[in-house]
Amino acid sequence: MTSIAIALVMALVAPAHVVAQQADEPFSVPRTAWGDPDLQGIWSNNTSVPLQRPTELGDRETLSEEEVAARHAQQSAILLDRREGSTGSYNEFWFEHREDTNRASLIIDPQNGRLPDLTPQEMEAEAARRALLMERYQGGGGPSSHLDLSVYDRCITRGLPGAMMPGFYNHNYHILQTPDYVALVVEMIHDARIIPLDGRGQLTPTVRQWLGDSRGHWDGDTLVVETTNFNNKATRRSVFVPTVFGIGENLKLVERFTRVDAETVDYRFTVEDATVYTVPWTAAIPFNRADGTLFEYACHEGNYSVPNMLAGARAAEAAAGSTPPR
Amino acid sequence: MFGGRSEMRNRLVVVVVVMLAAVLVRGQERPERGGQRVTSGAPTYIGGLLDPDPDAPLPRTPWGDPDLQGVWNNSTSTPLERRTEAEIEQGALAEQVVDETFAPGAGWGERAGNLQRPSLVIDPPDGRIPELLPAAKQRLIDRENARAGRGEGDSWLDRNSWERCISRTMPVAMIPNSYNNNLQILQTPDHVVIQVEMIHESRIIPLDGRPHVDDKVRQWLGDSRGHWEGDTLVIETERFNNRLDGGEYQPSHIIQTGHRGPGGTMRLVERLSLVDVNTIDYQFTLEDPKTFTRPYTVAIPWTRRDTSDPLNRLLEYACHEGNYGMPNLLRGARADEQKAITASTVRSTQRKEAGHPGVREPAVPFVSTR
Repeated sequence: MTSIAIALVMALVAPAHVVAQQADEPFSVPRTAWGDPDLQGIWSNNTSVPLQRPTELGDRETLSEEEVAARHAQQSAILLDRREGSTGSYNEFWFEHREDTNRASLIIDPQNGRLPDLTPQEMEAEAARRALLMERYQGGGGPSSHLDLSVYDRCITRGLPGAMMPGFYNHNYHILQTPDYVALVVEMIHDARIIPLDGRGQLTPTVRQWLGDSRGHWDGDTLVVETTNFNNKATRRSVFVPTVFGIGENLKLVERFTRVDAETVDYRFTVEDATVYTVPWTAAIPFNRADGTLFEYACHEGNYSVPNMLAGARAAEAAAGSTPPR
Repeated sequence: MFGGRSEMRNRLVVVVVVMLAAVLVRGQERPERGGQRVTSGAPTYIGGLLDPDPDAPLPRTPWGDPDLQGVWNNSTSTPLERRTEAEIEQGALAEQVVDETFAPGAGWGERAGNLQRPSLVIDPPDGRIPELLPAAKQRLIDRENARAGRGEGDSWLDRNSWERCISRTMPVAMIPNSYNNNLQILQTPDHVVIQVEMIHESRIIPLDGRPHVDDKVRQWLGDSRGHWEGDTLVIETERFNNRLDGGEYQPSHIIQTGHRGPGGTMRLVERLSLVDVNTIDYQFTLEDPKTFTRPYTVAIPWTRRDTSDPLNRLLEYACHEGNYGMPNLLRGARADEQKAITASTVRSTQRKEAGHPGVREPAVPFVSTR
């Protein structure tokens, strides 16, 4: 496992080095029968790298080997330790062992590895959402309705770019290609993105979807997917998916997929939403080749958490002699 | 909910009678396979259905497989099973309701005419789903009995997996209904993707000859493997979970076109072939030796939609988040209960006010006639 992790660090963080080492046999991008770069297969984006760089690291983009090991150990302690005596959170059965790279953050732009400043308009919107959250949760008591839970909690979707970001488990993606389409099956909540490559126009602005409306094209050997027409529902209510940024209505998401070696797709996305962020930002999340196959993900039918959370909140209210807001 | 149960019993009787009749007529006629859609009769509320074009060459992918890709619609007014006289009478009433409810432009209802055959089931030749084995029939009766004392809206668990927006399961996902009858196919050299619009199920089917997953892995849509037999795409699916009919929850009714067994022993073989550039002959054969006396085969033509018009492409289908039907249905059941309690209270008050508390009518002294 450690050797695999180290190999991945080498492969992912320093593709230039890998190419240099294999100079006699340079990596040539595998191609489909019709000549496009072949991105197909099962990929995993499981990673120990946080979205934002810890502020104490300042301008440092990479960590030392010791720091990577320490981060790995710290995350393993949180995620994988057996917990006795309480229901707690998910345990080692669910969580996945993290894959390491020596990067300090997934965000590569801005240079500080942090989400850019919010616009004044978004700061106001966020404050309003937090106020609503406090109201609906009675100052932190618990959700008043299933509508107070995030769309992820409700097994609807993780939205975008949420569906393309690593979480706690179910980090797998299945990419299939035809000359005219790319199909991208997301294991978590089994979202399937079917992305046309045929140059068709964007949907009318009145049609809004959770995963927006995606259009792909090849820019050299890189698959570029541009997505707009998101709905504004992922964050409309009080609680929101932390990997959906802003209400989404004006979001343009630009994703890039580049096959950099046999085992890796360099995946990165740029969030362009001038109503939310003062500048666009970009995250790079390597896709590592994974063995095996995807199975059905039973989210909604196995979602005992929603009734349990609501029942818990009602029980807490009954104990405190209060009633939930309507 | 006693009404519901007796209605169900009646339906079971009808089913049994129909099955006996089916045994008698079996073997007398054999409907033609496939079949074209006849659009002249009933109105069509679906845009961009392309007409058959027998002269156009059948498309192939760059790697030489028949090219089945595109957005297809399998709407039809032809019933799954051939109707009996009584059902045709009932059906005429239902058609009228549909016509009145789904006026053109109403947005939901899809209709694409009748096929030149009386049922989607083409085998057995009587067009009816085969008889259940005695044990399978007993299982359905036991299910009903196990539900004794439960209402149809006590909980969401009393509703089926489609109503709950989980899955239509197989073969239901491939059988047309009143709307959202669109399917999109994508092909690669080693996979086929079938995106089913209703409940947005994506079937990812490997063609590379890999073996089935371990027998212990069981899924709503099973585990599919595809291969080409000449120009026909054959998809074999097994490893279904044992909850296709609701499993332990035993909802009040299974999906009408759903499998009539638990699913674990079901095996499905689907065949897709181009009849012309705008028509796919889609067939499936369902076998379940623990449920049916014999396999049965269903044939449904798929018609290509003109996707140059964006209106004919698939969009997201919001089932779960838009499932206001579920809370409304449960609320309705609670309102029914409250109504019954209120009526009971009113009658109690009337009895007391009329001076005969505790008895329905004033007591009549027993008079001996001897």
